[in-house]
Amino acid sequence: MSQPKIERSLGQKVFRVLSGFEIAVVCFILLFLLTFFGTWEQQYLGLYQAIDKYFDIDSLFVVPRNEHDKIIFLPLPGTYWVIVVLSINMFCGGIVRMRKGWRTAAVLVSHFAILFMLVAGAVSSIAKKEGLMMVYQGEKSDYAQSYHSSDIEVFAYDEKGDRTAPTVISSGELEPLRNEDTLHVDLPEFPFELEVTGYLGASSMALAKNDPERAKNHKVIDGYFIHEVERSTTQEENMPGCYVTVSKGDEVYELMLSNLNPQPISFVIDGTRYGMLLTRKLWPMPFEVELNKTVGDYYPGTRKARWFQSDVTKVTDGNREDYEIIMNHPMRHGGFTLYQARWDKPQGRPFSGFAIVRNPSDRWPEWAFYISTAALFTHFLTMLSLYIMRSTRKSSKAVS
Amino acid sequence: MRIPALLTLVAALFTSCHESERSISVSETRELTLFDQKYPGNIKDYPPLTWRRIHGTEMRIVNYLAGPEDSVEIFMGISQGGVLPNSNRWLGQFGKDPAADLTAFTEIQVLGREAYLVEASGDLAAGMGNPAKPDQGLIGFVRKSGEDVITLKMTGPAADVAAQKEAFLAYATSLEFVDLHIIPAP
Repeated sequence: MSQPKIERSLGQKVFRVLSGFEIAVVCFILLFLLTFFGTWEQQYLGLYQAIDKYFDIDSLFVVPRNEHDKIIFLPLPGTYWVIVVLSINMFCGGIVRMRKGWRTAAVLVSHFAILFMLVAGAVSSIAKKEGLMMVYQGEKSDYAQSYHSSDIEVFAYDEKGDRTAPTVISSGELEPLRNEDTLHVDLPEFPFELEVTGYLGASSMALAKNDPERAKNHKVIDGYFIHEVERSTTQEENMPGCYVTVSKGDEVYELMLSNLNPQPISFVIDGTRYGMLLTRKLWPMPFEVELNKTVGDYYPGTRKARWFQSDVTKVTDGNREDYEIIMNHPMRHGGFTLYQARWDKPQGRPFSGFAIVRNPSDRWPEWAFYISTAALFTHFLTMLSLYIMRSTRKSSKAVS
Repeated sequence: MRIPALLTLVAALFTSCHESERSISVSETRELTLFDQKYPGNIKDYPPLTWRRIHGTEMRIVNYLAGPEDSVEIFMGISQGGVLPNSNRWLGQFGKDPAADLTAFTEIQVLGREAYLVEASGDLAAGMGNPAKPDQGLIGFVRKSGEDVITLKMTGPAADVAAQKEAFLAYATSLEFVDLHIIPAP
């Protein structure tokens, strides 16, 4: 006798598909492929570019390519969105649809924890901020700079010759530019407009008189020009450059900006001096770090640091606190974590490079891991106890 | 076969959406930090409005253009060697005889201590990748700084350099050391 067929509404059908194992299996296969091709492409794209291509929220689709830019596999959905689908599937199947009772309570908790871990990844992907603070011994700093994104900063000098708070043309606007593109920038706070052209993501700056042959094919401004160089797979080494036209009516300045020059160039409009520079994105810190002492050592025969540690003083609103920062022993302040990531002693002058990370979900994966482990341990222990109890009951029945 | 073709088309559409010309309005500002108060050689300067700062080089930590059609170059450097050898090297570039001692130069106060003003004009010899030039002028100072010397040099057509002399002297004497990023001594 066959069972009567259950009629389901469209919503129920959709829910069953969403919560089904089929989606989970497809997601896991896609994640395997994405991880495989992402790792494969990393060897010639570089870590940053590969992460950007495969794992970024903006990557809806990725087309795996080889080092010759040839397509090597079918387009795949972006990893971020596969994980979003997997999270929905897990929520529907592993929590909503799952049978609930004291026997499944621990599994339910572990599902929650794993989901929490996936959410932590999403929060980190959106809200995590990181930068590098470089400080020489005996000096202090109150800012970090991005490893690989560069902004254009425009500012006026005040009557004392000091810079005023700069207006920032973000890397998000600049990085998508190709060499032949033009970006018109309206700056409401300034009496002029800008036009960014000739943007190069990986460039070098040269003096025309030192390289006259190459200079012939480039725009030379004030004796300098920028030219494209081969993109490094280490994104930190890629220095952008561009040309900027500043205009106010008939008054026009042609400028060239390069990330290789950390000092601003200037121009005067309406009797005010303005400065402009292209620099790694600046990230002001709510505290100052004074580097009192830094020590380290290199691997034999190399300039690669083997170990290092720093004695610092953190100054916040006049309050001073001393810290010892050792590898794997960071300094924490509010939501900021400060690790020592670099050390060197060029020309006998030691410095420390502190990686600063602010990630609201910094500890979430750790908590999720503990919860999930505890829940699964409880579940296995419960199951084992039940099994032992059942076995004991069966044996005692058999004896009686 | 249809699904892969469709996926390829969708991917191509996503990757081909690129505007070659865009307009944006920007008002986002950043807080000031010690980055904004760091100066090359820890020397803060107050240039006249008629000077325009351009990129520096390893030898030129500060680099300006001034005068008609940017004919005058003003640049600061920190180099090795004494005050007299550097001053005489500059004179030599104009084919002038070297000075026997520093009394041959006008003394001015720069960055809290004596500096020596070097002036010359005439035909500038070729050097540092630049061709020889006739009728050029030079005004500059050399100041001792520890084991090194701080130099500020203005070169260009003799008449244009002479026209900038007053501005140059005002600029030189207004320089000051600013090192806010150094931990103050207790």
